[in-house]
Amino acid sequence: MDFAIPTMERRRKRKGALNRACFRVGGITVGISSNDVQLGVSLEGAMSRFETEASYCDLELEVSWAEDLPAGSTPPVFDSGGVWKLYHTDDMAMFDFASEPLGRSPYKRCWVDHTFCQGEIQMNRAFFSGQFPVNPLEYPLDELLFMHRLALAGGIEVHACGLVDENNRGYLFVGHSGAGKSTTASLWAERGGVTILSDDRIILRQEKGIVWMHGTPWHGDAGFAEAEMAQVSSIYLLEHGAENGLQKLNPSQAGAELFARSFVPFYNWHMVDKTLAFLENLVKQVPCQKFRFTPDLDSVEFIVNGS
Amino acid sequence: MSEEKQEKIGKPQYEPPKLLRVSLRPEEAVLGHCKISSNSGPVASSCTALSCRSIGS
Repeated sequence: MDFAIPTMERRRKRKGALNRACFRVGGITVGISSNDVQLGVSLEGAMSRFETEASYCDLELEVSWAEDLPAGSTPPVFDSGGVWKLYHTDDMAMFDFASEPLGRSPYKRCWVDHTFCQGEIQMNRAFFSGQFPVNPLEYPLDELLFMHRLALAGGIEVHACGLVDENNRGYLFVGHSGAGKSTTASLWAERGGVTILSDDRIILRQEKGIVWMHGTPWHGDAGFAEAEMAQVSSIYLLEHGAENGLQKLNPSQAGAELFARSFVPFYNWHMVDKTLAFLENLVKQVPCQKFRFTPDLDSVEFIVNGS
Repeated sequence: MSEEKQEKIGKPQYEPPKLLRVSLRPEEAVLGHCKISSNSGPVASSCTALSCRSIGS
């Protein structure tokens, strides 16, 4: 590899950093530090609701400017087909973010150790001149880091709307883009008596045999994002329909459908293996049904009365 | 135990494995699309002009 790999010495500079912010999502804390006044690390928008305080987080990231980031000359481990590619060295993973119309040079690079405990983000100054504030964790880096860390730690991020009612009953509505997650969240909010954890991204984790769903800052069109968690009571696979109806899914069907609506490092067999084991356990514990629904309040009552 | 006896005690019939196909959206699954059109790196303001067709949620 011909990249300038961050050294441990550089990574130690985090201590006493000029700027620092911490947040917790899905039970995982992330600390982001910078020693440059032009590289703010404040948490904005929905992310501010997930702010926490910690002297040392599960994942520690240091941000700095780079005057030049040469494009990778070796084949990537994985090419997303979008803005990011993944490269590996012996002990580090390197995510490069580039936009083809602007050239091959990455506008951002993130190094992370293979345990996803510490890393460094290098922002290519040439791409951000005059553009402030800069958000080093801008999508998709934030979710990529969580996707990998969760796969290692036992958990999964799913494309879903999660909500909990006044009886602490947790409903998870899973679906691709356009399946109706934000619509569902808005309808339940209109009915009232619920907390919407997210209308687009939910993190699932298991603790002491109980499956929990966590809200995330990565919301959908309806903008719901709460830093709360709830026990998952039932899972629904969203599909638009002419009328409301439920169809039970057996564990293998449910596992396969959930896997297709999850965010998984597909290029890493070890992480895929752990994710499949997590899903297998999940569908054995929590009933999963296909939910064909109409986009009105009847669909809410249908679930409330039928479950 | 003979097959005849097994049938009498209600042994479930063998079912061959079935192939189940599920719909996967690769660009969504690998976080390869733009989640929000105004939030996609330093080219954000020119996304539309660049005819990006990968906006998802």
